[in-house]
Amino acid sequence: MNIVDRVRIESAILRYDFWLEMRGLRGSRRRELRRELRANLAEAATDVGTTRALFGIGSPKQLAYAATDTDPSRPRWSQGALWAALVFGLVIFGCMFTAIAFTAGVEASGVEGRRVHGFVFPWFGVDFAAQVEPGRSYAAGAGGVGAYFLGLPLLTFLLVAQPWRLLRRERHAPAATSDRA
Amino acid sequence: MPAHDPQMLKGVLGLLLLSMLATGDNYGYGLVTQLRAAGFDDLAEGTVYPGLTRLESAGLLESHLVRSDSGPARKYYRLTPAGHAELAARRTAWEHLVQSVHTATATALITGETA
Repeated sequence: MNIVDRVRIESAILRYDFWLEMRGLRGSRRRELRRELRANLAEAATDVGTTRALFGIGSPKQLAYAATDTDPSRPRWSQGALWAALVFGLVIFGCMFTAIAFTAGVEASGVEGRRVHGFVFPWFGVDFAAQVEPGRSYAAGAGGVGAYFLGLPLLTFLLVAQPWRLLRRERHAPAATSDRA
Repeated sequence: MPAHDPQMLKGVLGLLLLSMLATGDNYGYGLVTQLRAAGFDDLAEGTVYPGLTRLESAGLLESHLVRSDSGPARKYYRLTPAGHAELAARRTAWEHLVQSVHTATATALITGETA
């Protein structure tokens, strides 16, 4: 097997591992499945060639999903963290966008030299403030936005990660693998 | 030989794997080649490997690693006592299904001929 074939196989294994991680498999089980796939792919590549061997397993994502259909899962911490980060980014973007729009509204209304406060939909409980100085300098702020910055990502994290899966883990122990080499 | 219906194949995959492993320990790709030699030419590795993982997770198979001269250590599977019991149950269910299908299709054939 040449270096290109090795890289192609390792790439498939990496993608397989990524989706196993996304499915919430613990590290030791992932290692075990990774090692098994590597051995099977090496065997198949020797037998029918790397291209056919990789074609045979299909999409690493589908393979990982099919392999974990009935596996006892730990909470999906990785997926939870990814989605929480995405929501955090969206909240920051939305808040900044709203503050800028609010400031533009204050400027358009012609109020200068004093701080203007207001509530903007859908930011319930957030106090937006803007001040436009005559020399076209701006100041904007948002008070009470911490609940959105922390609360929404945290809620997303919990809903996606599903920590209550921990309760199911002990009921379904995986089969042990012994090394009889 | 005509290709097998993937849905039908999926339904009997567990029975096939358990049956193959009843004849002796084997590993993923070894089972693929064994099944292909038995006539399942269109059986993909991507179907067999997850099937083995599911059977192992269900406690029907156990596994051990065996070093290979040609590459990484192979993961060999063998039936557990629960796997043997499951194989017997699936065989019975399969025979019953075949018999029922045979009866139903034979009846339909006779009715169709006399009509």
